[in-house]
Amino acid sequence: MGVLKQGFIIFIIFSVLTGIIYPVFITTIVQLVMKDKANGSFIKLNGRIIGSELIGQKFTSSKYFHGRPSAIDYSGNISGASNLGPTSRKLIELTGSEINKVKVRNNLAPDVKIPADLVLSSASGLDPHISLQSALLQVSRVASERGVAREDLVKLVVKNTEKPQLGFLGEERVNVLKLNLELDYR
Amino acid sequence: MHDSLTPLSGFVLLFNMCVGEVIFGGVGAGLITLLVNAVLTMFIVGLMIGRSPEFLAKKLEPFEMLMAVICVLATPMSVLIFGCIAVVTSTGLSSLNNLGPHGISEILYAFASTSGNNGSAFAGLNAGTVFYTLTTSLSMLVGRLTTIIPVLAIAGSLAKKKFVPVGSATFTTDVPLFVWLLIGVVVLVGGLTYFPVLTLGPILEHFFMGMGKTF
Repeated sequence: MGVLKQGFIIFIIFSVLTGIIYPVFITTIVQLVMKDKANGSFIKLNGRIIGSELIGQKFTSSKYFHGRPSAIDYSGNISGASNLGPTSRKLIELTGSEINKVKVRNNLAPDVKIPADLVLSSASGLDPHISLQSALLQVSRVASERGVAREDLVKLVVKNTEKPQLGFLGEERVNVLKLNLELDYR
Repeated sequence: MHDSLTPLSGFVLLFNMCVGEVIFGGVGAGLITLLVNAVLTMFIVGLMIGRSPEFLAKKLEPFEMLMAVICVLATPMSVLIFGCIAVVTSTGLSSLNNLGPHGISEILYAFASTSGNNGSAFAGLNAGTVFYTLTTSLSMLVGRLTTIIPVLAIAGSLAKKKFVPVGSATFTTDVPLFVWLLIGVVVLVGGLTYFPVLTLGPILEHFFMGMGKTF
């Protein structure tokens, strides 16, 4: 009986500790200290939530900057990758057709090298960023579609560039949704 | 998304699972496998120095060794046998998302993970078929029970034994030599068991990738 009683008391103590006290404690702290981040880093426009800066969205109009290809078509309620290995013929074909698409869309010469991030889908399919090079590559197209000066757009892209964390983690990158928002509402 | 890993990164994941999750941080019975490997190491040390093996001041006898060997061999047998069945049947192959050596990695990963880890897969493998549902759940049962039951048997049997006083010839487990021997046993047992299939999977794929061969 002693063992059962001990077990039961420990079960109760840990249920309260890990089921109530810990979550309430952590939730209180983050809601006080970093409310915006804890709630999903939402982006609001005129009081309406239109997205999160952590979740990529699909842009197809040529008036906007485009994000990376997505194996799940930017479906926000799942996440997933192509799951094709490096020796997959299908991956080579897919990437080839993506490269063509980017070249045709942006009116590029056939021998131009395309940044890898713009033609390979991300692991989650929801990458909100593209590299600085990928953004600059699209500047001419967006500028002519919108009838604005190329230099202004380059400035806007550079302004929206995020530096690598701590100076060495990751690469210089541009948040596509934020950049497109600024295009429309600057 | 593990499927998109380059062959050698996939190799590291597979190897860590195949040696029985002994590196901390693995999901599964990592400590159990490490203790069983320590028992094996002490047995081999006992053979080398000509003394009956001891571990934590308890004598290791045929019963403990039998249980330790079951623990070390049952998981690889389940992984390899189920993997073989998957590789030679068309039902098993029809779930593959990638062909060539990468397909072997997919199958090996599915069974290594269900036996010894959290049951994840190289996500490309369609494990929702009747064949994979049955085989992976069986391999999960074998992997769990053949690890936990023998090790509980060892624990129970060792608990009943008397302490052996530490003498001048006792090989203790708190010296660097033991660490190296233990690592050697882990790598040899895991490596020799899985080396052939790892060669056909990620290692072969690595060379094909270098040659630019696709499937």
